[in-house]
Amino acid sequence: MTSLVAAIVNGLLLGMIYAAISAGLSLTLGVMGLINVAHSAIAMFGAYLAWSAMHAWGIDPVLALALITIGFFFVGMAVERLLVRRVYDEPPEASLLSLFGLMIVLESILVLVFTTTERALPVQYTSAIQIGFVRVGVARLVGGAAALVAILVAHGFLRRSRLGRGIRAMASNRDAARILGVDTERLSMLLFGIGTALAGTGGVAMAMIFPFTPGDHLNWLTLAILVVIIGGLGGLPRTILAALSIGLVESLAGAYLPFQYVSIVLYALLIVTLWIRREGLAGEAVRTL
Amino acid sequence: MTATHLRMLGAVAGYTPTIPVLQGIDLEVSPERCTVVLGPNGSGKSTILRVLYGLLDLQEGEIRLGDRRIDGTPTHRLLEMGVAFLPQGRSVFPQLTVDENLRVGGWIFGRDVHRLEEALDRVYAQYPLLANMSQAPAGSLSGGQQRMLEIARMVLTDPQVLLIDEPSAGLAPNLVDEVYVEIERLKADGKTVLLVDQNVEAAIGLADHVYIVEYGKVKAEGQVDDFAGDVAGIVREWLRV
Repeated sequence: MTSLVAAIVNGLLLGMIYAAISAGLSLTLGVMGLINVAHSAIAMFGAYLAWSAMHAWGIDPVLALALITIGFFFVGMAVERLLVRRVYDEPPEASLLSLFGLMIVLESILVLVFTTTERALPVQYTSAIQIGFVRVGVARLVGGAAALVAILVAHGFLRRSRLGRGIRAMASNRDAARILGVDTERLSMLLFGIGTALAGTGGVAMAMIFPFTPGDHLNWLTLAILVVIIGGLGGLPRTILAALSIGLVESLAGAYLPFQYVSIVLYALLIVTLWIRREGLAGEAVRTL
Repeated sequence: MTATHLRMLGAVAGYTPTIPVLQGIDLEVSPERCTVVLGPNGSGKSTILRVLYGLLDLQEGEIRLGDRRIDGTPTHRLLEMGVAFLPQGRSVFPQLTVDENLRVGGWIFGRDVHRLEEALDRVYAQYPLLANMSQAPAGSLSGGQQRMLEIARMVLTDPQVLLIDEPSAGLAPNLVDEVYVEIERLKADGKTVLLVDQNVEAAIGLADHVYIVEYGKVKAEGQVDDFAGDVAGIVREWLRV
């Protein structure tokens, strides 16, 4: 019983972190129709920045996470302005290839600077605390909480603010938004900044829990795409729900099944989801059962 | 706002560089009048509006609003200049509520909440139905209600010039009249209207000035009285084309 509750709590916390990593991907895909394959490489860049900050200056990973999240917001806006916007009106392959290029560059920089040696972030967070009768890793708790805060801030911004309303209008009908005076280029820049900030949060949070090498970001990307497919593009709550389910399934499968079954269970979940909700990626189609 | 002419001079434009849809269109929209562009399918009527509203670039020619040259102006700046556009087909934001749709219509007010709330009050008073449904997702409205929302959203910032593309397309026949009554009312309010339409009879009923476009060229133009008697003739000629 205790181990079941522990697996659930740990799974939900892991799911929150997956949600942060996936939310940015989901937003840029949903609003801009952009498959940002560099997303996870950006997240991994965040992980290494946090690692460097800790080793070089002794900056606490939680503080690093906050700084990286804010910094990446501006980095994302710059990437949109300098790279994405130039190819936005071209066929989709152009933006896919450009971002793929960015991914290769980022990963290569990480390999050059940090080598492929496995690193780990959480030195002072390796302990676990007892909550009720459940033991939870502190790193996981902190990472999950940070991820939750970042997502809630992004969600609140999109739901409540004027610019968020503009972004949602743009997601729904880009031309109609422009016709009404919405500067969709500016909002795209803002949105890409938000997605990149969330990648930063998610990357550092992941690094708090798991050891990492530069190439591991591809696993993160696969995971984020899995979340986006299962959650659809109907908005952040769905992404969060999908990410929590995946965290939960992974955690429960990990607790009760041999290690090599975890991925099988995850992909079975994908198959079942697509089976029931055939619209899959479209997300908006109404089920007519 | 002072009354200004909207003019299109020698406009050449198209979706591919080698096949121009518009082949040198001259068009003048007089203030506080209703100018109607008629023509068969594929003649370039809608393209005229897309070009005027910056959604498609001119290859040659120019567009003037009063003395000011406005071709090349990004679409999102035109509403600030007092020119609004009602595109063909559905254009509400279905996932946003009616109120949010209208608030996006007031986007150019920026952070001026006072002006926005004032404009919203005015529009809600004008369209009580929208006031009753203000918190409903726009996608849940009927086709006719969505069209009203689109019109209300277009005029929220009180623009002077309205470009309207096929306002009755896709609507149930019993709603079509309502839409034209609404456009008539906007015209009576002193708005300048450029209406592109396939519904020849209804459009002629509103028109002061008529352009007939065929194969990307102006085939005929004149005061409505020159055409009114011959609506059947115009349509018959298209069917032969």
